[in-house]
Amino acid sequence: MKCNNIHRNLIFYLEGDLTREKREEIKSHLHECEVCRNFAANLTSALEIIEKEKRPQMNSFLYTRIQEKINNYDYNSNAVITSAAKLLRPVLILIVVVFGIFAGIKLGTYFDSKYVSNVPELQIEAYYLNDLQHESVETALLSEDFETENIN
Amino acid sequence: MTDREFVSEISRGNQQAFKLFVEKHQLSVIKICTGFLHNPEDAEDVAQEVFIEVYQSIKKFRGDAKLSTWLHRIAVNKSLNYMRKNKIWKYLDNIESLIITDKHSVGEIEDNNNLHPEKNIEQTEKARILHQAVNSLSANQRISFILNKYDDLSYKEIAEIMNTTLSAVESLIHRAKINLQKKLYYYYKKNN
Repeated sequence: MKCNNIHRNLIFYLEGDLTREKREEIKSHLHECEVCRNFAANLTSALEIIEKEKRPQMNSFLYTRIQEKINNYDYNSNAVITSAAKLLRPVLILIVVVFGIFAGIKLGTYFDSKYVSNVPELQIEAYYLNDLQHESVETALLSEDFETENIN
Repeated sequence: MTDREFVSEISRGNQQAFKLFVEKHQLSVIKICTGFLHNPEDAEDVAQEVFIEVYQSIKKFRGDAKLSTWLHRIAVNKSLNYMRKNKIWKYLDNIESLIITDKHSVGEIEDNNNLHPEKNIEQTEKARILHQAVNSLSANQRISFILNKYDDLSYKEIAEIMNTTLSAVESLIHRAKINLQKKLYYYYKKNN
């Protein structure tokens, strides 16, 4: 039996989920193959960890703690506060988003081209911000006649 | 007490009945929470939340399923919610638990054999890899595997909890074991 086949079935072998015939085959292979034997040992110790976790140490005060939490739980005010808190967060986010959009529109309006063209200082700024006028290559590429000019 | 009696008495606020209910099911709930959370303190915290939820919501229980099925569903959902909320903090906590031995996760040798600290580290590492492999399974595979392996629930009971068919549960657990085995194999191969 090849190792790949063993690896696929090893966990079922360790849990006793295979037919007798298959169990014997795997058992015989494990006897001969050290690699598979090592993997089987590692898998066994992994399953043992689960077995250990299944036996937790029970806290004898669990019920007492539950009772305390229930008694301290203020149903009415807590329900109102929880509802208010749940509503507040999306409302705040919405306010921030709306404010951001409004601020962006206002900022854009501030740098409106008409406004820019009427204010000399802003015209100079806009001139430097718009570097297309300096770069003839980009201007040329944007030109509709560029392709025909180059081909010719 | 039967399910109906539990529901009736706990709804009326009968503390004795609720205490009986907690004592009857606490081990099962803790096992399920441990399967998801791998930390005894977290498992206990979530188990408390589960029983509080039962106490608060018992009046809404319609009786369509068994009381234990309903309880297990709550335990699974609370555990998954806890994991989602604490994903980042859990990651940091796991790193810390590898360094600081006071805050332990299950998997360390309980007798704390100080003569062989390498063994402790090896066990902790094996536990960490196993937990990682279990957590990397798909949600349904993980739920069915944990309910089967940690709480020893039958496939039929798991099918009722997950509201699915018996054959679906068989398939889920089968694939979960194969995937788990594969992940562990790649890890051990890489490290050996």
